[in-house]
Amino acid sequence: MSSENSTGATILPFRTTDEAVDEERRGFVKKMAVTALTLGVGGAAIQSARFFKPNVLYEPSKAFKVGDLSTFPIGSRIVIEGRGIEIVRERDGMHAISLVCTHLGCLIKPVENDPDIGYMCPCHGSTFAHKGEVQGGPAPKDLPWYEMYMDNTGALVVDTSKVNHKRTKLAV
Amino acid sequence: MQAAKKEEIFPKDPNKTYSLMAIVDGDSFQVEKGPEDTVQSWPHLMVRELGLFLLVLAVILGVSLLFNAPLEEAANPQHSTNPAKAPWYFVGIQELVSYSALLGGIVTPALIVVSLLLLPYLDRNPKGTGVWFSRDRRVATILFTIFVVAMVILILIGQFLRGPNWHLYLPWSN
Amino acid sequence: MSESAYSIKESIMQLPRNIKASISRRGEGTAEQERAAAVFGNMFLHVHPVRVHVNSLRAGYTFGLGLISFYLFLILVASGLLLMFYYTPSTELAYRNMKDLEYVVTFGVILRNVHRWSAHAMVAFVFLHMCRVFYTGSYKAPREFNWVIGVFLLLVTLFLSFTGYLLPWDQLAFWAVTVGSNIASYMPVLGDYVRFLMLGGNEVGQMALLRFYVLHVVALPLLAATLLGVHFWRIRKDGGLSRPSND
Ligand code: HEM
Repeated sequence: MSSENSTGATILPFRTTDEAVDEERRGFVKKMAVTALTLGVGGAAIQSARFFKPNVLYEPSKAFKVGDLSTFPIGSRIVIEGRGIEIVRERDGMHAISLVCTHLGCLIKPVENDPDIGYMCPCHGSTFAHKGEVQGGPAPKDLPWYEMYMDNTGALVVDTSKVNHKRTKLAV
Repeated sequence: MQAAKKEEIFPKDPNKTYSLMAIVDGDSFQVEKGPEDTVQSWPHLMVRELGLFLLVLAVILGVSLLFNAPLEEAANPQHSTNPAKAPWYFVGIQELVSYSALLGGIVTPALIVVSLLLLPYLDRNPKGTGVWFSRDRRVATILFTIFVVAMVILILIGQFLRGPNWHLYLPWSN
Repeated sequence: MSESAYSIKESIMQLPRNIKASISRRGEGTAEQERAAAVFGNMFLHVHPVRVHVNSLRAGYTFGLGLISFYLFLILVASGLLLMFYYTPSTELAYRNMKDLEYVVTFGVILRNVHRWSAHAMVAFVFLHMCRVFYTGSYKAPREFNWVIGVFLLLVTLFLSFTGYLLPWDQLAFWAVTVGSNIASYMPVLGDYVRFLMLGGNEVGQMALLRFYVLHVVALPLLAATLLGVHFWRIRKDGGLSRPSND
């Protein structure tokens, strides 16, 4: 795309349109390269982060025996030490209720002889009714009940990995 | 085009152990003008730095000889302490958390951090740099002071006015 | 010096002088030059410019708050390193190690006290330093980015303190971290996952102690040291400490 003047010398325009096209193509290639690199490195980094998620936990099993039926007489409330639950047996059945505060995970203390308040958290003062509903304080959720069943040896088992959403009592 | 005659602006001196690293903007040409209002770092700055270090070390050692760091009973996952308090610098956040965990524990701290990060890009008014409490920045000064005072008050409440069950109590009552 | 002038006897006699000269690599010069060389010829001092503006020396301007924070960091690194000789990140041993430090190890209590009180002081002084930088408007151009680095330094300082808080494995530690990690789980969407990764499990136990330990003694101090390097480098590149513009 050169032009000629009177002296016959060839003058090259400062920049040919070809070069402009070339710039565009270069820009495109560069964008592609950067995108590919970001995706590749980013993906690898995200995948590598899986390293930090332990696959085996040496924590106590979530399902555990709490004892025979006879350990829990009717009308009793028995805290299972170290498991963060309380077994409550009433006339119409029994249930396992969590003692881990739904606010920040402190251990809740059962309150004795109070018709309204069944549980109280020492950390930030949340209170819960006997069935676990929030009565006061910053706790955002009711205390969950966990699945409970009797295994073939007759021992009562609580599975804290399964929440009993319907709050059905184990009829015994 | 004629090739510009290449001229070494900063010729290398074999006896120098330093070289030009960067050219910094200045307000005016500095022809035949010595560095003003500056002093040699050694000894003026470094002697002060050393002195301050010795002072800090002495104070920390003194405090450590007088007061023991707390150590409570061994950790026991079966018994919550009552109340369970975070370290003092988080107790202000914990105080907020005792009203609402999401708002106090996540949203407020996140807002604080984001505002701090963006601050120099939002407040670009160049006036009042280098002066304490400059009159040119009264609004900024007031806003920041509110933030600091709020933090301090929350920490004081959480640290000294919260007793068992996170109930308010006065430090001198039991 | 010609080769014939070399003599082993001469070398031995000059030994102390030659060793000293090889370390300081400083020649003779005027007093001014030698003082300058004392700064730029020394790796540890050459973050400083050779000359500083008198304003940066005014105690009433900076109150030395940044420097104090840095010194506390140095004291923490030194005392922390020594504590590591007697500490095991295990739920069985950690608390016993603390008791040993208190009653058995020579100077153990003092070391532990120094580490603990410096940590508290560092949080306070970093915060005060931030206030001084704010009230003197020292975050304005061209120092915006150094303020950003500073905010990250503040966060790293807080995380360092928080991870260290768990290590004695006493009641204070256990419940403070239980509460702290549960606050993290309120984060929308990712909350529970973040808590799980932070603790390496569902509860504060051995995995959590090990994780906090690694963060506390390796990862976060390295990060802090790197950020501090950038922070100091930027102070110089941004033209030294801020000062009133029309002087
Ligand atoms: C580990 C924490 C920190 C250390 C050790 C540290 C250290 C220092 C030191 C030694 C100085 C020199 C001036 C002085 O002593 O005041 C300085 C200046 C500065 N720091 Fe920090 N700093 C830290 C955290 C922060 C934080 C949290 C901020 C702000 C959010 C910040 C922002 C700045 C800025 C903008 C300057 C320049 C000030 C000026 O030019 O006047 N730094 N820092």
